[in-house]
Amino acid sequence: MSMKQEKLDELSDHMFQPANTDVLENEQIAGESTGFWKDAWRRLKKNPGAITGLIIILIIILMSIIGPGMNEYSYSQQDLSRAKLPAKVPVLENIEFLGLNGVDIRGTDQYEAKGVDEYFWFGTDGFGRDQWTRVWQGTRISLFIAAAAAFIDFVIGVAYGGISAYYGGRVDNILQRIIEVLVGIPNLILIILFILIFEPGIFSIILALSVTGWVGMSRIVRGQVLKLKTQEFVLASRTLGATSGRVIGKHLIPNVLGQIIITTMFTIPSAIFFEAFLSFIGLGIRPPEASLGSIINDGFKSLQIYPHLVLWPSIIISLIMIAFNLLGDGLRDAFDPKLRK
Amino acid sequence: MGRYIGGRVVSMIITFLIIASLTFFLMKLLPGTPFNNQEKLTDTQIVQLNEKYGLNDPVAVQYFNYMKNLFVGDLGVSFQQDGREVSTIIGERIGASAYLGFQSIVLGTIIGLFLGIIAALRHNSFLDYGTMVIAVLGISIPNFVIAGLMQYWLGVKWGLLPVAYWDGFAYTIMPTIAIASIVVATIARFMRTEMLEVLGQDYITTAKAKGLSSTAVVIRHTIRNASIPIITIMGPLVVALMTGTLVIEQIFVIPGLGEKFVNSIMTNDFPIIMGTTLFYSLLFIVVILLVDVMYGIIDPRIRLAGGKD
Repeated sequence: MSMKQEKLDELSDHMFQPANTDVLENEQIAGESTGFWKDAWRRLKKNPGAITGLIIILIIILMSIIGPGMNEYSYSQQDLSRAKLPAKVPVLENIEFLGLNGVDIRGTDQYEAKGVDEYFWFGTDGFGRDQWTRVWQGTRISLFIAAAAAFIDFVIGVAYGGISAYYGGRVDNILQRIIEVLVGIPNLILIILFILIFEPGIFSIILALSVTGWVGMSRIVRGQVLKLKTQEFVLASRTLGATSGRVIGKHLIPNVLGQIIITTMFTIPSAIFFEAFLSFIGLGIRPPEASLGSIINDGFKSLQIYPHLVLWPSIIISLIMIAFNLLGDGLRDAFDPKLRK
Repeated sequence: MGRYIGGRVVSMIITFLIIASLTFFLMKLLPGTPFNNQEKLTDTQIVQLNEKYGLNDPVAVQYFNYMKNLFVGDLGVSFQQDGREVSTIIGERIGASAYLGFQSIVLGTIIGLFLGIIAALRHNSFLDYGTMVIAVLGISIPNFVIAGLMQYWLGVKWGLLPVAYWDGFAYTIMPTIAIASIVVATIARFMRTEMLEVLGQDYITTAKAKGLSSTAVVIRHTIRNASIPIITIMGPLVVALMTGTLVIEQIFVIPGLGEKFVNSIMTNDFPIIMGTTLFYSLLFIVVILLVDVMYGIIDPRIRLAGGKD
């Protein structure tokens, strides 16, 4: 017997297992699969700007919900005996350079002068209304208007763009001619004209913003659907007998969703800007209701003496705009497959 | 090219007629009276005023007259200012707005291009990040907030610049910065992206490989190719400028068209609202047309592809 044979004898049967012959099991993927959304979220997490934006947005939304209820004052409660007080915050009032000690820009302690014992964290406006409550109430209304306008843009834009691209031909032709005319009108002018016709208020602002707002969304959806509808998976689905509604709802829309979300992220800040702009030129929210734009507009009248009335709402509106733009940029990078490495 | 421009001009005229009709009928729907102190007027006076301005005619007749007058460039007379011609009012108001808009777009474009180019050439450096921060801030912060901050700090607190009014160059500085901020931000961002894309192209490698100096590569090949698409964002920018002048003129009390427009809204001066709306729309349509035509001339690929996406 050779050495070779001896070695082979040492290998007994129990050291072996039969190989897996099940085909299906061989096809199984060991690692966790990375779907589109997961992949996008992973890339978004790596973007510090976008995450900062997201956190700022969440904080501001939270504050707009709980902020107005955090003290005992209401946004419309007037009291001229405590009008135009600067900001004063407990504890922080002891740190002089923060300017939160109730001393106005001329150096008088207005709280002492007017005999007010309470604390107004952002000060009070010309009618003695608590600025903290008003600012967060205004933030709430500004965000609500922006969200509602973005939602209407989303519904009309997706439907219009989807139908136009999916049916193509004459339908597409007619719908696109309408869009061409709408795009030719400067939207600001149209918004102003519409707001003049409706009774001023939250809902007319939302309506006015939606009159032309959906055009951008519909164009993006149309472009994407045009690209997608000629692809094989759509053909396969149709061959299997799927209805138009199913093809649009199950195959086209989910694939365009990334683009839709990005567009919405940029619609919201532009809606906030337009609302503030309208309120600023006096066409928006009517008092005692407040939005960030109308509060800034009110504050402008006494900017030289009471800058704090403009300061806080300005900071918050700027933060909202910056946060949404950062998040939108981040989402665009996260959803864009061209940038995938 | 001639046929393309011809087609575009025709569709431009149609768009303008639609806008004119839309504006007219929207004005008819407006609530409120255009006359000062209507409550103090007697019924006879109101009837006389309505008769004078043709407001008693059926809407169809008013519409026909309006369009007919529009055709010969007659925009009607103001209700508020003793029947002065709307076109005269627009004429005397447009100067300040045009000056402000022009100064903002020139200054904004130069600074924006400069920042975008530097950011791309020093990609991922401190300068790049700085530019991107400026770009995000410029796009995000509303122009009236920037205007307010400047008015308070530069105007009131430090007294460096006049707070408001329109009386010489110093008075134009703050409004110009407030309007130009969005121009700077948009162009810097756009230019940076375009530059980065061009820098990655093969012809840049070729230019470098054949021994061209890096200055020549940057100026002759990169910047030239990267700046072509800038024209496409000029349309939206002009709109941003119009929005900008509306509110900025209000804040700085500048006697421009935007300020007149906002005030005529407050006073229900229909002919002025309509005239200004049409003026802005025409400006907008013409700018879009010029942008498209210029783009076709500069980049022959667009022209060959039929001029449309």
